Amino acid sequence: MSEKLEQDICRAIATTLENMAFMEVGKEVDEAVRYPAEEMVVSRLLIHDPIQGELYLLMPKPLLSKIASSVYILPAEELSEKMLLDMLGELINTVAGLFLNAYLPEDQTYNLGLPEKVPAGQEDSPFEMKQWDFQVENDLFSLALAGDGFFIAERS
Amino acid sequence: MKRIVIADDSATARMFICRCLEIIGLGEATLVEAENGREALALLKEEDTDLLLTDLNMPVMDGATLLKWVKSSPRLHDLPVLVITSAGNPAKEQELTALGAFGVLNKPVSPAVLMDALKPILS
Repeated sequence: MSEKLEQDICRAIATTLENMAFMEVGKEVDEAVRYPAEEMVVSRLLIHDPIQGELYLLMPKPLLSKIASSVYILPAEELSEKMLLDMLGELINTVAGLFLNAYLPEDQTYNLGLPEKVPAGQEDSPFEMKQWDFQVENDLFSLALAGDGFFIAERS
Repeated sequence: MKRIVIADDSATARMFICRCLEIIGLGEATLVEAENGREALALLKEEDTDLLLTDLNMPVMDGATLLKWVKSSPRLHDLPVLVITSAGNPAKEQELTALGAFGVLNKPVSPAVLMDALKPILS
């Protein structure tokens, strides 16, 4: 896998959270908290073309609440499940756009699906997949990219 | 600027855009929200509107289809349409400008960027 793909993924997630929630994203650190699967919320977005693939955003509910609380300017207890899921969907949508804009040539258009909730632990894909772990305020979350085209292009 | 229709299937995105509009001094305008292009079209036909801000990727009717409907309608033809999307790049911008959009902004949009894009309309 090339440095470019990894850099584009990292920049997309960092820009999204910094611009939307004023939160700084860091690489995984030893002391960061890893949450059990039952506390994770997962959203999937299909990438239709020019490369077929899937993007997954796996986030612990407490972190998603912190982000949504910052974006909505509301106390976490006033945020509904629907608002949290919508927040996650908007995050993955924005990350996907920023990533593909950086990764693909400027003159290349692309098509995305709509974000959908996936049960935690079922984020498997028929495609080759790579997962990156990040932390915000010591809470770990992950972004996974699946799609043979992304990795075949990287190898050739 | 009296009435602005905001079409996006994400409530978070609509809230974010509304906040940006308030920050740039358009909080006095009536901000009307739609969850998809079809809903937006119904709102546009209901009452005179000064500006349409639309996402591209929406269920039921997407933003590009909404833009085509607006620009082919004798009544709505002159309505300024700004696309705010996560899937915008120079190629997409060219495509949407050809369809009649006056601008394309990438998410996450900031008040400063929105202000800049709306300058021609506000002036």
